[in-house]
Amino acid sequence: MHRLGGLSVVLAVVLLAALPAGAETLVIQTWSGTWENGARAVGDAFARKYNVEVKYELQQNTRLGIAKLRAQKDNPTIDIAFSTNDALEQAAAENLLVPIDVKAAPGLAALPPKFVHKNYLDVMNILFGLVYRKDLAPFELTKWSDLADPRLKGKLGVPTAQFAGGRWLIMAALANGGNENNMDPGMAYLKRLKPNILAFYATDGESVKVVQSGEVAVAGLGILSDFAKLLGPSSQYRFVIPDGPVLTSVVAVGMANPKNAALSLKFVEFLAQPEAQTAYCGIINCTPVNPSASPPDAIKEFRPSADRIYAADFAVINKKLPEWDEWYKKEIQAR
Amino acid sequence: MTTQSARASLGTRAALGAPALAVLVLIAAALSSLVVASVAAAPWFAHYRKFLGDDLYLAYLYRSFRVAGWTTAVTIVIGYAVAYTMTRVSAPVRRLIVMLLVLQFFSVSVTRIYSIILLLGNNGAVNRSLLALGAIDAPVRLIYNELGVIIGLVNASLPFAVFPIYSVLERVPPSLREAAYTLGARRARSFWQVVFPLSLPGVSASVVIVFLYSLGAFATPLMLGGGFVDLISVFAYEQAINFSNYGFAAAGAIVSTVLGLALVYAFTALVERRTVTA
Repeated sequence: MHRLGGLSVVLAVVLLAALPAGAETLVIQTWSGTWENGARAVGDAFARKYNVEVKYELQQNTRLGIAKLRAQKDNPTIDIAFSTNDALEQAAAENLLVPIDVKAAPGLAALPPKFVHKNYLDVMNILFGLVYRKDLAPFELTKWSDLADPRLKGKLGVPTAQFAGGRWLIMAALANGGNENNMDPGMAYLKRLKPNILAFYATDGESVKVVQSGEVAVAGLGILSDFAKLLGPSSQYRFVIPDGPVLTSVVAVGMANPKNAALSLKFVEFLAQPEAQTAYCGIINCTPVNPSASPPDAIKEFRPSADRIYAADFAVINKKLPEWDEWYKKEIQAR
Repeated sequence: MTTQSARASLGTRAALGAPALAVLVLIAAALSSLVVASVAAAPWFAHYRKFLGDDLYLAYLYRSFRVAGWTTAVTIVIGYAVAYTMTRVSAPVRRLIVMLLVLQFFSVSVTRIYSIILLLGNNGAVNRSLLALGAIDAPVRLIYNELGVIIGLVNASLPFAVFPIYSVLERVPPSLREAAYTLGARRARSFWQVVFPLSLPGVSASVVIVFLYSLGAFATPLMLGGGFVDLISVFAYEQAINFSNYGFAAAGAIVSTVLGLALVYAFTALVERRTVTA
């Protein structure tokens, strides 16, 4: 017993000695699941390169992540926040982010300037499309209007209005000739979909679950990164990005802790490099913004031409979303 | 000796009172911050006027109380039956029931809800079996409606109903039932006139716990309601987190809390009066 106790003490001393003395620590907030795996791949590589400790904190969804930054505004413990550009725009407006000092981070020159913002950095694009199961859907879906086909009655799952910062509503408008400043065509389209809707989902995780469990045959809007692992020639899942404008979501990172700004900036700079972007997108199945980085093979066939990607005005969307949400709940999300 | 026992009694009171006071202070502080948030930066109770003046938001309230009411009724009936059974079976069977309830209590809620989806969903085991047997032509909608949410909440809140009722029932002396039989009462009459009135304090406690638990439920309505049965907690979450509209979220939460507490107060007062009369 005494020998075991002595051995434990020796082991503890050896382990303590192995840790770098006074190692700097970086705390990264990210989503869970595949997103966590992606963040860990780049975070761990950063830790090895700079001999620092990297810790991870998980956010249940994007808005909860921002809520956490807001709650710890006066005494932040999160250094780096993985989020979306629209959510970080809102965080910046609330002074939750540390401005990015481009002069102190020459590595950011690796990115086209449009991806480096005052308070955050765009890292990669994720793509949205409709998803269906071949074994449950009565026909092959190719266009947005297919979602209104009466054969899909009771077989369709669609997002809530708040999903992905309102992108479902914007996509509905874009697919019918409108946009965030002209939502009427989208609203008329959503009314046509109503008889087909079986359930609504609020998060991308739920979108995967309702399709995987076979509850719905079709998910009106899904994220390619979530479904890429289920796709393949013999798979029963199909991900379709119909013709016309394409809506993306930009994964971005912001720095939230002024006390650890120097190390955070080093990480942001690291994340801008092609190696880190290739590694992250290899796991997440997204498109890197660094032109020298490569997207994974699994999503190459889905990459739309640049002219099809619609640049939504999130200042308008963030302002109008509560009003659209009320309309959606009264007109669509009600039996 | 008298001084010593007085000191001991004071010490016991302090030991018991201090944690209770801390909890009360915490609850009061949380409620105060909600009240402040609901009226701050909104002229003339604007958040309350918006909440109470719009059918969309009142629907959250009606739906929450309706679902909580049905859940409580069903859970109490099932819970009572389980608790009563526990007083009539052998010790090993009773232990097994307790174990199952405790397991249910400690299981991860999301996993438990997802298992209900796999069981009762359109493509779930129940619908597939009924379709295979030819009992139905198309899947019956058992979830993504209020029924689904109530099933999920009954499933989650059953332990909260069983244990308070069982703790009262097990203290009812069997001699009372036997006396009723001796005096010519049949089983049903001895139950309704002897056992049930004595178990009312347990039933009352279960009603309060299950009702308030269901009123504040979040994950179950979110996952089993399919977006059609959002309760007040979902409203508060969406307003506070997705729209950063804390004042409006707080106003809705306060209206719901006040109404819930008023109902509970009225119910417990009624039960106490009945118990005293009995």
